[in-house]
Amino acid sequence: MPRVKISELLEIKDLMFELITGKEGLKNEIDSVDINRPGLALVGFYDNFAYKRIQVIGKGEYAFLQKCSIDRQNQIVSEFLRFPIPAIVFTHNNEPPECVTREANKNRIPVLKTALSTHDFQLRYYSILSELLAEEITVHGVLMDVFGVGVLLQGESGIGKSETALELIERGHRLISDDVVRIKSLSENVLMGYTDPIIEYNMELRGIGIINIKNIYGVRATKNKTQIDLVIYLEEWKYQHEYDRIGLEQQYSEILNVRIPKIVIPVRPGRNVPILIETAAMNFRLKSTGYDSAKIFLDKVQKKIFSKKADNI
Amino acid sequence: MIIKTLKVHLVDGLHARPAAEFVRIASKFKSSIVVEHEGMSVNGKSIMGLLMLGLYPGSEVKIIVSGEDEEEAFKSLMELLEKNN
Repeated sequence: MPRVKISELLEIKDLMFELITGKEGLKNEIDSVDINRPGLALVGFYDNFAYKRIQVIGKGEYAFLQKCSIDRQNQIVSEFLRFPIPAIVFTHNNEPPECVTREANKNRIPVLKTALSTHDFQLRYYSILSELLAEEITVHGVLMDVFGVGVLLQGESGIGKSETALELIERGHRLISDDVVRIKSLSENVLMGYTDPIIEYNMELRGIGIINIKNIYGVRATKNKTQIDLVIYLEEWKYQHEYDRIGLEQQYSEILNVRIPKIVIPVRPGRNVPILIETAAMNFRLKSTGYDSAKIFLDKVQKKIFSKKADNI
Repeated sequence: MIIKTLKVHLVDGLHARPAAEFVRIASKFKSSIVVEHEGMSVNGKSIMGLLMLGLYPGSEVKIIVSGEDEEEAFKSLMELLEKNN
């Protein structure tokens, strides 16, 4: 299971963190997307205390601490911070009380504050952490955004994935990654695809070598991530093979236990593969709005057959 | 299927030229060739993937070769990786 260090969280601008104290604890790690509001712990109830998560002191907890006498505060905080907590966060830009910074520093627990409200902080933290902590794999292929549909192009080396991608870019679509695609599953039905920081928007073309798409085509041609909606598998045209002629039965590709619709496109000289991919992407969008061309067409045929049959009886 | 974990000996690691050589050799064979390093697995017939791994001298890699000509493919790749320069 992946883990995230507090120092990595500090670098995320959206969380608006400011480190107050506890630098020595920045190596602390988190493995849960959840936070803990330690209200119960502060009043002395420590059964099932989720001390491995970051502890968020919101308006309520803060007001409670403020109401306690200094002696009581000291007692509460020293008991609370005896646990190996990864970090404490004060929302609403609240200044941590002196006893918190002192005890946290002693126990090497980072104390952070953020200008966000607790609600806003929780929302952002959850979505950022679920991405950081998601299971990840790398696959061979090209990931593109075609008309807003995340298309993962796969197929044997040398089938022409990169050349196809280049033509798609030329037609205004966007590249996420060529050759190696990093994939994370963000939930049971969502796969997100990224490029590798080393590969970025570089692409290898047989005969030309390595080129940089972002530098050649500019920002319109690239995108940093996309959800993967469709897998298109390119393969050499097999003479005897039966290819889908109607499109009623959906094939799937399984990546990280997520099922993604898959289309196999046979390649042979004279077939314009980029335009086939554009069409597949548009048809995918049409289907997701509820219009299944193949089904509606076949229903019409069916109706005609029935009416003719009725006439002949 | 042949699976072997080994160390890269090449003095400068698997940089552009040796990577290109690896891909050139790998592409001659029908077998699928996968290279794994630090939890990432890439296609041995793709130069971008291999370069991305950033294999330094001494790094451990797992080579997985599978297909009809796997033995020959595996032998040729080993010859390259076991070179010392």
